[in-house]
Amino acid sequence: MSLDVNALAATMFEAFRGKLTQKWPEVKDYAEAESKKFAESLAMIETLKSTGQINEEQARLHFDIQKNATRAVLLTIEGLGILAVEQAINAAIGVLRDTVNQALGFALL
Amino acid sequence: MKNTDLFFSHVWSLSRTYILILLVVALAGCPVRFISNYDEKTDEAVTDLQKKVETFFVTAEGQAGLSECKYENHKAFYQEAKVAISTIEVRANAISMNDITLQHVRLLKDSLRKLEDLHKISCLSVAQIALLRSNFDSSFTAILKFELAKKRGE
Repeated sequence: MSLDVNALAATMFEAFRGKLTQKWPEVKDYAEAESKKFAESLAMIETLKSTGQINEEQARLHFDIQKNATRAVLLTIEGLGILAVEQAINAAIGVLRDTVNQALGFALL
Repeated sequence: MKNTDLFFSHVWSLSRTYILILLVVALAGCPVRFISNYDEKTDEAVTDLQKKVETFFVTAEGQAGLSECKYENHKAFYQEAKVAISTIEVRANAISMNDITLQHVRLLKDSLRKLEDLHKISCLSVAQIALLRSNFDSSFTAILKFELAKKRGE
């Protein structure tokens, strides 16, 4: 049975989206492109195996490399989310600083 | 007052102190950081390793079907790649709040080991190289994309 690349890409894209909502608009294109690539790679491993170009051990090694790449992309998306939170906290602190200084009438902080 | 109440009261008192310190530090102008700063050396070392891997793929593609494609003829590449990834790993490990990059590097290290295992089994075909290139590109892009994001708009 051959793999449905579009269905696979859609599943992976949803997994990426679930991992990050706050930064989603900025990473959407990246996640979409990577999902498509991963789905195509999986389909290619299947084709190579089913046509006898690689054996089971080789297919497993290719799949492990593919898994590592997927995890790397997920880690980046997670990291971008943490940076977004960090940015939001610093922005809030900036507002607080301005409010305190304004209330005091001079730049205390 | 029970011992547990005393304990929680002590913890709460300490927490308030830490929150206050954090707030004072933050308001004093020190930005909050959960992730390490951008590291130019990591960026350069990863980019350099990506070039080595791509050069290897291009060479291997040109040798597909020829006797030169054998693993024995490419041992130098694997040795260089192992040294490079270990150097990157040591540096990433030495930087605080750098856990994500460290995980990235360890995943890449594992992929390089598996690439070598694949090559030991047989020469890499053009189709296999296309697959490997796509996955290695994703790994390198993920690492560099995150490293560059650490610049935080600087």
